[in-house]
Amino acid sequence: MSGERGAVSGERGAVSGERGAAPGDPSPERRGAVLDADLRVSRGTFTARARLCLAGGDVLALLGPNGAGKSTLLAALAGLLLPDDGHIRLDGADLTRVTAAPDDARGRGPHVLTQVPPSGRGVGLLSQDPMLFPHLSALANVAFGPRAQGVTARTATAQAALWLERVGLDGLGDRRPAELSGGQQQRVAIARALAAAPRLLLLDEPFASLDVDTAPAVRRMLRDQLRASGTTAVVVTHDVLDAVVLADQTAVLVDGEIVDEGPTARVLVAPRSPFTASIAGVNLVLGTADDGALVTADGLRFAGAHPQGAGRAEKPDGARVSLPDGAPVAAVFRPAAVIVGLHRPEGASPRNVWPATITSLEHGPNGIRVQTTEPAVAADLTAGAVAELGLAEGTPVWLSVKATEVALHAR
Amino acid sequence: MSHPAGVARGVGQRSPGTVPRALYLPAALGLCLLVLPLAGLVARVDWATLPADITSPEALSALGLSLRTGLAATAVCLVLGLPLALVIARSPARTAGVLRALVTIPLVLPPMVGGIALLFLLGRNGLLGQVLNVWGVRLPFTTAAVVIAQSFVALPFLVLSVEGALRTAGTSYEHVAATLGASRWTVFVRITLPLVRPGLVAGTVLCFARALGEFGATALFAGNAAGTTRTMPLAIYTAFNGAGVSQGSAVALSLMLLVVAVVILVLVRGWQPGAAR
Repeated sequence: MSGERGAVSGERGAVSGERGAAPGDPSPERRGAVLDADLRVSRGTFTARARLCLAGGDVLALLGPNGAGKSTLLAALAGLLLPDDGHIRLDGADLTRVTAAPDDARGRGPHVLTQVPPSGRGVGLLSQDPMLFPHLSALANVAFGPRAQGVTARTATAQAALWLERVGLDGLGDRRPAELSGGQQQRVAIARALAAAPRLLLLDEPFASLDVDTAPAVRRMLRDQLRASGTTAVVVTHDVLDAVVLADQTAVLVDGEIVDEGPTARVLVAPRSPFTASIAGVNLVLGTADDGALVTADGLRFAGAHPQGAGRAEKPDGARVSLPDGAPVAAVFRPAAVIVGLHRPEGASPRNVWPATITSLEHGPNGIRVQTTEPAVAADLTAGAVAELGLAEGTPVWLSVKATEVALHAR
Repeated sequence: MSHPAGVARGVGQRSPGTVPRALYLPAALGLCLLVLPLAGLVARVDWATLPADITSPEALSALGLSLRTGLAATAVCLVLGLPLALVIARSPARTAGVLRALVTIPLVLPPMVGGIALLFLLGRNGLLGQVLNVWGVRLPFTTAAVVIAQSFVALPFLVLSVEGALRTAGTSYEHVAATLGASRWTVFVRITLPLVRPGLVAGTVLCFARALGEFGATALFAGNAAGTTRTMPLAIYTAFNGAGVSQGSAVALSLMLLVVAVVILVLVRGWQPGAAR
């Protein structure tokens, strides 16, 4: 992860002037456009809202559960869906500019000031289905973008061959999509998307249809090519691995609203929403600050450490070091750090102890994951420990976690 | 792994489905209904006079006229029908339904009625015919009228089959092409057309075959003048009913039309990629 790409907003906007390289030009200094989008998009009764700002060449992961509105936002960015309100700008130029219909104009749609069609936006779209044109060879698929943008057939073919080489498919250019494996098809799709030299590349669950053995290599290849081409990109995913490998910035979308955003490491180490915590594999307890500790709405008290900034996050965030009483706070700890017992533990070390009830037993990363309430906390136990304690759904238990294992963050 | 439509066709190794035994009998009867009359036709062919019958000036003139007007009508249908099919396929469901119904009407209408309708529109006293008459254009009973009559009855075949192919192909590939920077025209030529090619070929063949066999509308709107409007079907009708003309030449002409139809089918099957697989 490149730590120097700190802020979300376009602090590196000045690089945008370097654009103008030919489509497919591999020069590493070519940078994608600066994205500035503020949208409200509806699909049926569902509405998604987001403000996305990206510096040229930055990659943003848009994480969220199914139905959170991620794909709806992407469709709007690609120009396939008209937002109800807001704007999408690349390098300061409007691609979409819509003002909401006034309340008295019932039945009338929003007022569209600008809506550049998909073909004129320079915004590429790559989905989980490679969607290779079935009647064209792999090479012709990749050459399609440059050709459509007016590059001569000869140059486009040469660029396409280069891109196929970059994505690791040297020599397979003559194959039809049906003659390629799923992973190879997605590699061609990546090459095709990048060969069109998009100013912004949108990736919608790009590895979701690949099997677990294929996905890591393709993901790594995509990261390398995004970095090398300096393409600004938005990756929509529900897989935290995509965010970790690909993205400088991460935004978490739940029920159409962004609930957490910032540098990827910050978001995952110090999650501010239960969804982020669950995909990051940590427990999150929310409450307010009281004398340097966290107190939940039910009155449970969690003592913990106040990391400078957020653990491994590069930037100390000065405002979050001290926790004034009453401020909203999140306590974050690993499921493996939670100790489960049938009786209230006795011991000298400072611990957070609370009674809970088991709600479910699931397969965990190292044995069995025990879900408890209230609050919702997961504990990782070995299968032997679960059997020895005789744990089952509904079993009342005592949980404890050392204060040194708990990180407290301002929300 | 879902393959885009049409890609994996012919690759799957699935075993053929089963048919209830009782259905083989009606299936065989159906096949007989289609094939036996043709066998009967071939059986009646007088092979001794056949060469003379089919090389007679009347027969050759009718065949030439049929091929020329049939090709012209097919060209007209392609130029008008392909855009119409695209418009229907990309219209909102309601509009598409209305348009599709309008296109289907000539298909279910007896061609005779179509011929009368054309006459009332383009005839000397017709709605448009009056206007054309002022400019000195007279359509009825000309070769152009034959082409118009054939196009009228053949166009629905092309439109419906291409429109079906367009709807099956969907718009996702077109969206992808657009995000790669392709203009609407580029998308149409390089993506949409190749994707619907099987449907387009099938529709064109149906359209040409229908134009070639067209009788009713042609007879009423274009008449039966040897050399200008007497196409093969009209020549066969004339030979069959004509005073003093032997039915043998009608049979010979029918055989010719049958051979032309079979040749077209064979050519198209051989031409289509994947058909031999």
